[in-house]
Order: sequence, then structure tokens, then C-alpha cells
Amino acid sequence: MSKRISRRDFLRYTGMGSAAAFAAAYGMPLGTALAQAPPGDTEGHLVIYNFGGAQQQAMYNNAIGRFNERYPNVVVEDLYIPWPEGWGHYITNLKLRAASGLPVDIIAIAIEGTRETIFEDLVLPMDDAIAADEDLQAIVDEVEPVLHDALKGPDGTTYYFTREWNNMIIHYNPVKFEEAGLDPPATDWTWEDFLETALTLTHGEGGDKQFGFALPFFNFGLTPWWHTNGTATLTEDWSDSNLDDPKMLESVKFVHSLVHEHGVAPAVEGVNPYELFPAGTVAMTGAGRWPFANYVSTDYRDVDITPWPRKAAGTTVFGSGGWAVSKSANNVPLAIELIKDLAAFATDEEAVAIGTSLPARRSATENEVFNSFPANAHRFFGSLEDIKPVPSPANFAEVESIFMRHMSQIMANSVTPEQGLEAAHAELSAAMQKLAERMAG
Amino acid sequence: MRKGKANSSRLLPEMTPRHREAFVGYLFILPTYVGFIIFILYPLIESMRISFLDFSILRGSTYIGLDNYMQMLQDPRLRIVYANTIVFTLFAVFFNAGIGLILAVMLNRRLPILMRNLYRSIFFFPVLIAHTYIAVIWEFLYAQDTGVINYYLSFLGIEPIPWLSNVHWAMAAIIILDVWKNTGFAMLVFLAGLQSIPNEYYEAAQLDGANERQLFFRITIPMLSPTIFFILVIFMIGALQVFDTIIVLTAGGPGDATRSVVLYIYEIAFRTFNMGYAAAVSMTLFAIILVLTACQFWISRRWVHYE
Repeated sequence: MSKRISRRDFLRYTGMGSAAAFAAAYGMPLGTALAQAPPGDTEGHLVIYNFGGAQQQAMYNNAIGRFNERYPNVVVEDLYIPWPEGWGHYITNLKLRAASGLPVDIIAIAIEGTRETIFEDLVLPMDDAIAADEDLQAIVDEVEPVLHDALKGPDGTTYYFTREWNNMIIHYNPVKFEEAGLDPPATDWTWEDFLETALTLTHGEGGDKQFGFALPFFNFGLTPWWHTNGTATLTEDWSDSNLDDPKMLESVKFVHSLVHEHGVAPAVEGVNPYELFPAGTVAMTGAGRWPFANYVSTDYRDVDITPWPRKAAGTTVFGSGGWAVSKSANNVPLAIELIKDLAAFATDEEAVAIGTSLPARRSATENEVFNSFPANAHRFFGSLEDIKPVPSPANFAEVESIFMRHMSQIMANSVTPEQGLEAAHAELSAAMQKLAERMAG
Repeated sequence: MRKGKANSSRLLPEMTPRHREAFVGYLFILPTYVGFIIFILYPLIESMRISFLDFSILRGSTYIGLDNYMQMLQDPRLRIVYANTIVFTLFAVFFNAGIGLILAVMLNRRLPILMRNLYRSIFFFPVLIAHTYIAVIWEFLYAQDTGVINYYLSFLGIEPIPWLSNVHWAMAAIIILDVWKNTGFAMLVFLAGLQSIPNEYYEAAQLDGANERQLFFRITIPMLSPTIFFILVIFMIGALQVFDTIIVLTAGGPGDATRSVVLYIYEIAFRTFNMGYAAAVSMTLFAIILVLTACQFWISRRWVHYE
């Protein structure tokens, strides 16, 4: 029966039913069914489950506009959630939509949520589609392998196309360095160099006090301190707690000492480093590219970037986001066509101009707009030479919650780093055990 | 006219005027009851059902009996968050009601209308501001090393106070913010209550030689007791359910120092995806609020005077 029905005719004349269902019904590989782009006069309705800031929303609207030039009869609904309050809530809403039968065709999510969507079977594997579609293959090829691989499932299957990424890198104020008689930090500087520099940059009293550094006190922001000491909160395969690693204790003690022993960083609670840094209250902080949108909009230019100081390694951290086709998509080939526009080079170019996250393609940064500010902008992509993704198991929200709760106790001096990490390790181990049981079904 | 009357009779057939009046009355309250059933009663019953399940949105749920309730007995964090919530409730209700009453009494005095409206607006203004904006401002005020409050305290020779980074000060910081935000509402309600007390009582008491203190404790407080009771009930229920003030300012930290029961329920549900346990904890909170409110109503018979 399958031999008597032309695939092309089916897609063209039956209103573009789900390619997945089609492939299953006619016994052909999904990739083969997806290889054909739907005709331009296809009618349809696509829903994107999306997130980000207002500028990014405008950027994706432009991508939808480009898609509608190719498919004028397709209505695209962008369910845009402005910076969700935690990925757990974002995923729960997605699950509720799926359970309620409300359609979603394309899912955007950060790396912190990808494993959960894969485990919950919310997204379609894309390897066959990529193999059968030159455009998709090109999108994958243009993205740095480390970024693409980070969004894969535990078994190496591709579900997501990279949307954007951010690393953690030191932002420093060159003017403050010059005033203090300091040279810009070397790219291979150490924790000891960093501390010495921060001490030199810390001076004054009361309201006139300037701190050398403001700690980015959130899970992603703290992770470079662990990575540069050759450790992490979780084991390499993200399956168990690694908080009993002596290197973790050493790293946490160092972070704690920046505030409580050396006084080079203000107490972390109630402090927003990305307000203090442009205000000149601190001379250094850590972030990705995301504060640059604010720097640009307020015409703040006294900033350059340098790699994170190293202890045992030069490894920093990155987080990324991706686009996936939802398993509940009504029209998979059409959803794939929309992803091609959302993940297009033109979108990356706009991301560069906005100054928010880093674009998926390095090639989109090879221009004056990106490289003119900060002076060492090339270091963003340069960091990819030695980088690891933020540990993001399927229970990421729980992992983050446990770890940061104990870190806040350590930083509040209500427990010692030893006590805090010991308690966190016990709780995290139990949570990872529970995850393993959940995974095993 | 006659046609209309006939139609009306057809709509409400064979009803006595008394029944018809009752029927119309029920029609008027029907929307409220429908809203109550859909948005309160059904979620409550559903929460109760989920509390007996190992709940999963997509993978199906399993009935586990009282396991979620038994888990509560072995959850040391639950005891901490309940203790935090009780401390917050006691202080927040006391200060919100107390300061609100003081402000209302002060504003009830003979002030020029312009001044009275100006002060009333100033004190009520925080009630109108979204918690998110307030949190940004108060984080800036509270910051230990870069905050405005500690900056001015330093002129008095006071060492920087770790408002948000110390387990004891953090709860105080939350209560101060809550009182600043909500006492204006209490003030407004008290003011309305004060203005409804007839002047004749005061005039008669003054003729009998009562002083200001006697007027306040013998007339104002008894006449205001229904309003005080209303404020205590409303603020107690609100305080037991405190969430947004905490999540935007400390997110429950440092550690669990300021985590409330509702914040804990939210985190269990949306961070660990343990909806069944979250529903069980929420049922205990519901039961506690129900019992405390019933107690308040019972005790109120001894001190609340309705005219």
C-alpha cells in the first residue's frame, strides 16, 4: 500500500498531516518523511513555546516574518514567557499544556530544562531529519560542536538546535585598573593573581567604598569557581553528587573568603553585581554577554572581558538554549521549516546587534558590530576552547535549589563551608538517587 | 404590560411571592457560588485527591494512601518553615494592625481635608505597588555593604547590619517590608470604622467628664471591635499564606531562615515536581487556617461588640 502513495503527493494534497504519524503509518524512516519541505501555499497554525526578553521577542518576530514570507498562509502563535521564574515552572506549564491537549509545535528551552523535556518524551529526535535535510545539516555544522553536543540527550541523540549561549567570563573596568596602577589581567591569571588584584582595587569606607569584585551569586555564576579548580557540583555524567570532592570544599572556601576574610566582595544577599559594576562600586564581576545590552543602552563603555582566573584548570562554564520540535506538533515538516528561520544566520546577526546572549554561530560575530565592544570581544568565543556546560540533569531545578540553599547558609556564616557542603552532599545524593529511580521507571 | 406579566409568570411558574423572592435572590448570588465552586471548592477537592497520589502530570499517577502525610512527619524542613510562618504571622499581624490603628486614630483627628487626604494617600501608596518593584528598592536599601540603610546607620556609629544575609535579621527585614507595604490597608479600614462611630457617644462621655484615654478605651475600641476583628482575621490568613514578599526579597534564604510554608509548597511542586507531597502540605495549611479562623470567630464572641 505504501508503494502506491506518492510521498510528495501525500504531503502536498492531504494538508500536511504529521510526518511522524505518516512515517509510522507507511513504515518509512522519519527523516525520509521530513526531507520534503511543505509547499509554500500550505495552510496551518504553529505554536511556539518561547522565552526571553522584549528585544529577543522582537528578534524572533522578525524570524517569524521571514517564515511567513515563505509560508504566508501559516499563522504562528508565539507563546512568549518573559524570563521564566525558574525552569521548573516553565517545564511544568509545558507539561500542563501537553496534558491538557493544548498544542505546542516548537519548544524553546535553556540547557537547564532540556534533559527533563527529553525524559518526559516531550520533544522529537532530529537525527534522521538532519541526515535527510541539507538545511538542517548546515545549521548543525555552523554551530560549534561543544554547543550542539551539550543539548543532546544522554544517549547522544539530537533533539535541539542551538538557539543561543552564554559563558561566564570576568568583566572588568579598565579605568579602575589604570587608576590603581594595574595592568589588564593576563589571560592565564590565577586565583592568587585575582585575589591580589581585587585587594588592590578595594578601598574606601562607607558609601564611598569600592570593592574589587562582586560575586555573581547564583548557580551558573558560581560554577566557574568549581570548573577552574577541576571540579563540579555533580559527577562528570551528572548522575551523582560531587560535593564531597575536597576540591569543592577548597573552591567554596575561596569564594567564602572573598567576602568574609579578604573583604574584596560585598555580602551577596541583596546585591546585584550588574547594577554595582556599571555604577563603579565594584571593579570586576562575572557574567556572560547578557549585561552588554544594558551597557550599550546606558552608553556604559568602561568594560572589557578576560577569562576566569584559574586554579587547577582554565575551564569556564556555558549555558545554552535550543529549539526542538514538540512531540505533539501537528505538522512536523512545517515546524522544522519554522525552526530553520528561528535558527537562521539572520537571527544570529540580530542577536549580535541587540547585545544579549551570544549567537549560535561564530561566523555571526565576525563583524565590526560584535568586535568593536568590548575590546576583547573575541574572548567570548575563545572561551569555547576550554569550557564545560553547566551540569543540567533532568532534576536541575531541584539540584540548583539544594545547592544554592546551602551555599546561602555558608555565605551567611550560619554554617561553616565544611558543614554546609556535608549537608548539601547528603541532600543532593538523595535527590540524585531519586532521579535514578525515576529514570529507571 | 399584561403580556410581560404573563411571560414573567411562565418563567417562574406556580411560585408564591415569598418563593419567587427567594428564587431571584439565589439568582443574584449564583455567579458568586459558581465562582466559588470552580475556583475554590474544586481546586480544594482536587488538591485533597492529589495528596493521596504519587502524582505525575504526563506519566499517570499512583494511589499511595497516606504516604505523603507520613512523609511530613519525617521532614525536618517542614518544621522549620512552619516555625518561620508562625513567627512571621505573629509579628506581621501585630504590627500591621497596631500601626494601622495608630495611623488611623491620628488621621481621624481634625485635620484640614487636604492634609488628611495627603497623609492617607502617602500611607496607602505602598499597598498599590507591585511586590517586584518593592523588592528591587528594598534590596537596595537592605544590602549589607552597599545599602542605603546601613550607610545612614554608619553616621550613628552603628556597624553594618546583615539585613538579608543573617538568619535572624532576614526575618526581621521581611516583617519590616511587609508592615511598610500593608499597614496602609489596615489604616484605611480602621479609618472607615472610626468615621462610622457616632459623635454623640463621645459628646455624651465628655459631658460626663471622660478624658481622652477613657474615650479611646471605653468608646473607640469597643465600637471599633468588629473592624479590629475583621483586620485580625484577614491579616492572619494573609500572613499564613505569605509568599510574594519572601520570594522576591530573600527567596526563603539564607538557607531556610525566611522560607514560609507556601513558598515551600511552591518549591516542592515546581522544583522537585513532587505534586502529591506539595498537595499534602497544602492540606495541612488549609486545616490550620480553618481551625485558627474558627477559633478567632469563637473567641470574638467575648470581645467583639456589634451595635
